[in-house]
Amino acid sequence: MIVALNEEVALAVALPMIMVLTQTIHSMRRGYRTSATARCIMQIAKLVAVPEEPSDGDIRRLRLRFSSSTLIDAAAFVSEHIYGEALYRLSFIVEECEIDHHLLKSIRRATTRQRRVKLLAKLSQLASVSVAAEYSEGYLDEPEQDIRTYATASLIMAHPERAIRYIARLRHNISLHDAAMFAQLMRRAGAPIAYTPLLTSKSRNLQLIGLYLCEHFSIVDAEPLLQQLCESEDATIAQTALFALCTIQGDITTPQVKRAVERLLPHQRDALIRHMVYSCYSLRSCANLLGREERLRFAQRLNSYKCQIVCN
Amino acid sequence: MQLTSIILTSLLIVVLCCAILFAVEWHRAYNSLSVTPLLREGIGHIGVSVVVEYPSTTAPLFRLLEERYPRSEAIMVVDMQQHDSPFGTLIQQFRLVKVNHSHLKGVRALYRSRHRAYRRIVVIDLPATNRQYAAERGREVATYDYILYLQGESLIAHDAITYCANIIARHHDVPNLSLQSLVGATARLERASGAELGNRSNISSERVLAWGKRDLWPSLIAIFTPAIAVVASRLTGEKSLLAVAVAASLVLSVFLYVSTRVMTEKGLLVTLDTILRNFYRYLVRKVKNFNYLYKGSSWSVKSSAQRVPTMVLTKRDKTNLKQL
Repeated sequence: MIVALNEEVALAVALPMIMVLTQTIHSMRRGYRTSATARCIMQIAKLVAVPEEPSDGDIRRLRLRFSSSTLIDAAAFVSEHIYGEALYRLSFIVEECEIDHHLLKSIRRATTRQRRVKLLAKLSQLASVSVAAEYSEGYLDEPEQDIRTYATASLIMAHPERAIRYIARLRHNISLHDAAMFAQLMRRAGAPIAYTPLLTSKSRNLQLIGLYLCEHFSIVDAEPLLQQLCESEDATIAQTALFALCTIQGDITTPQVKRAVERLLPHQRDALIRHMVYSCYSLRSCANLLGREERLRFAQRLNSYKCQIVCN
Repeated sequence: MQLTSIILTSLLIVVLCCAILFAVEWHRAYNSLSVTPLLREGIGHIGVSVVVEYPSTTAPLFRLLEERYPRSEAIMVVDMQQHDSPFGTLIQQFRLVKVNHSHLKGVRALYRSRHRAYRRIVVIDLPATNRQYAAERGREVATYDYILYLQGESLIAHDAITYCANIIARHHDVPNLSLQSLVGATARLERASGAELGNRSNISSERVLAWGKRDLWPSLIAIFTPAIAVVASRLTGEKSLLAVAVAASLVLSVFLYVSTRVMTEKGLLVTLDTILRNFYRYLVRKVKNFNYLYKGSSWSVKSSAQRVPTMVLTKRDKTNLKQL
């Protein structure tokens, strides 16, 4: 009995020990990879900071010391933090170390969707220093939404002047997060951003990007277009337009706005009340839009929020 | 004896199946989040209010002020009479002033900052005896539509708010997000007014958010559970129980494998403890959802955190209402 029990107890104790060992090995491997990436970033940053082009010896040293995946991570990180001439030097390093070549090969070989999306995101980061981004056009018709989104992102970085065309080509409805990401990429790549063609476009995705820009930069001149978009059949567009209108402190007493508010669900109305208080609207201006209890809630919130405070 | 062993074995098999499902869902969640690029600029109107209930130090507040996401605020629910020293100095430091709080039941005072740089700080002075109303009062004061609840000394991870806002913007159609942590303490992220939509939590939007102090004994129990099961199986002479115990150990190793993928600053024992705790919560939520869907019960909606804010009418409010 005791001998048999010992075997099983040994088994039961051994399993947690195996788990501990697995976890330790995994953590150590991860730690090593993180430190290698940090060292690689340091090396690339040093080469990029020097005004001269990197020598063949430097390039060879980089290729020998670091794996291709580490080089991809490090180059993507550095490219996001540099401007001007430094980008040209980085593009030279990317070309000589064949980082983009490795990246494209990995994208082609990736078996899972997540892996491909991650690599495409890396490609979009490297797009400003590599010609390989053009190859992502082949992924614009993939069935997976994320793959299409990140392929579009890398194309925007490669050809900022064609950004609107690429976004309009997307077949799925993008989220507000994607719209923000595209808008930020367009700004970084120096693409011309005009809100009027975006807001008047028939494409829902372009309208969403236009709304994001109006809200983010508080474009007061966009008020008439925002009023029109409040009546959009797309609920997300109508709601975002309403919030953008409040952010720019536009006129919310118009019939379009009233109809848009009536279409909102109760929890969306409550969110709008919070947003209107935050945007410094008075109770009088919102009185026609809200119900009896909502008006009271608005007044209480307004009193507790702004009353007696003078910001400096 | 036969019946007991059958019941026990089937129960363990059900738990194991749930554990595998849980591990798979977490793995998917982690994978989907790992491809989300972190946008630190404000994403539209989306913002997150963080309600910290009765912290004993000012560390949570300073951690929240480090957040770079612009549309966020820190609401500290404190009892000034108990923690007078740390928060008394804060009021001077951040130039906090008392504002109108007549609609907040049981609240002694409500403070906001006069200084534009600190407009993200809100302090609610609520007696500790009214602890049960802390979440509700925090929600009534919150500026943004999504609220992250933290307990006591829990500190959020760096960029946690930014992650929250990014996830909300990505899954904006989901009515009520529930963000939980696998290796950290669970932090609820709820819509301020999503009560009528029910408890439709979305496990695919989970992310490491917060952690707090943890005791070690549950982890020790977790590790030695297979050992106890093996011994019990030997004593009772049930071989099936032994097989299930070994399988349980294997599932635990799968848990650990998943946990290493989201490992942050945590030791092994604490990780295991919180994983098991989250697994328990996962089971409870599944049972609640089952009950809600098939029996039409709405008891999950009636929890204190998801109740619709109650209106407290003072005399002045009633006269205002008549005028409106």
